[in-house]
Amino acid sequence: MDKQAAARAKAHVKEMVENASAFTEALGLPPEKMFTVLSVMYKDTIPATALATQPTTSTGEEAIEDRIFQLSNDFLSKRMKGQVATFRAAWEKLKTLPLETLGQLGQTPAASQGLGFAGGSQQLLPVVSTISWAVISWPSLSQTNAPEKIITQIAEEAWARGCSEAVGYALAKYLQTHLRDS
Amino acid sequence: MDCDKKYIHELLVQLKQGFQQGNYWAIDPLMICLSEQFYLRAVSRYQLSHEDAQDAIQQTFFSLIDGGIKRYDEAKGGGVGWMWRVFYSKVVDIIRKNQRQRGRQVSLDEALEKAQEDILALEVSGEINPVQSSAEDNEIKKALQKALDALSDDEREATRRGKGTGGGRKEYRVAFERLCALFEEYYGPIQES
Repeated sequence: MDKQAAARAKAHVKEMVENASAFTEALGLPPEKMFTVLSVMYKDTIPATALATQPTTSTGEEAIEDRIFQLSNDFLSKRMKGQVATFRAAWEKLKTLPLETLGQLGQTPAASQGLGFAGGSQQLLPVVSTISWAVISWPSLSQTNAPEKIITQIAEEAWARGCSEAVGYALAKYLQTHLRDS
Repeated sequence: MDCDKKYIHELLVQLKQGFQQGNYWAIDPLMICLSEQFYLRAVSRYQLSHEDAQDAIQQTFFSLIDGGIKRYDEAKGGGVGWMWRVFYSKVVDIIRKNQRQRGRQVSLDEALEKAQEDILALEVSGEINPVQSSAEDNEIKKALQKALDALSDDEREATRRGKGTGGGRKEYRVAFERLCALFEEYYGPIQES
């Protein structure tokens, strides 16, 4: 065994880990995401043909959950930046709810507090609930209505859940555009 | 990251063949392919701390460099399962060490039982990756990949090289700051810790 080469190889392993750790911290992500960051940072060094094509356990329901997370995260980042961290923290609880329940949640204080939306963050739940409802209902919404009608219908759902007039309307326009393009 | 089973096997064969010449290049792709899954399994199923999980991963790859790779049977194959077995043995080593140092926090018997169950499940499933990334992890990956794709080739290379010492530090800093700004744009605001 070449001891110097072995020492260099170990140093390189440590360097990759330290580099990923520094990146994770700089990106504002918690330390436990460092190997997720590492896998993306060095992904280009893996040949495309080597990426697995084995079956995954992903289901249609998981794909819908992913879509709800993605749209909520994006909308909040654009319109309600201060609420993004609360949303991400609460998502771990929210995603355990059945999709139908997620789409029906209103702005009840008990539900808000139980799901980690207490205090000034209560407006989050109506937003996430409206997004869930729109994602689930999109197949029927998109087939039967004109764009303006879709926006009105989503906005009414948002207001019924407790969104302010401005947020409800902005959310409706956002969802109509993004769900149409997906 | 999910890498093909055949690719993992080929990397292990390359590592074994290169071992006598001190050629360890295959360690990097093995680590890129497997470390995320190892980490998730270590913290969720074996309740290791972040530091211990990180240590278990490093020790897994160090053990290959130290000669453990010589035990890989290329004729038998099953590289993914073999790597998981090496990893589980490092996890158990850490749990055993913690028990000695800090008292009976985590049951060693329980950890050994879990490791045996996990190895069996892996063999029965045909070595399908037992760990799935969460929706949040997938969002992070998408945003980070988009940010990396927006960098120039030189910038991307500088970020991978790391801070290091001497030449290239300025290029690293510039690329690093740009990557952070792009990630924030795609993923959302960065939280101050």
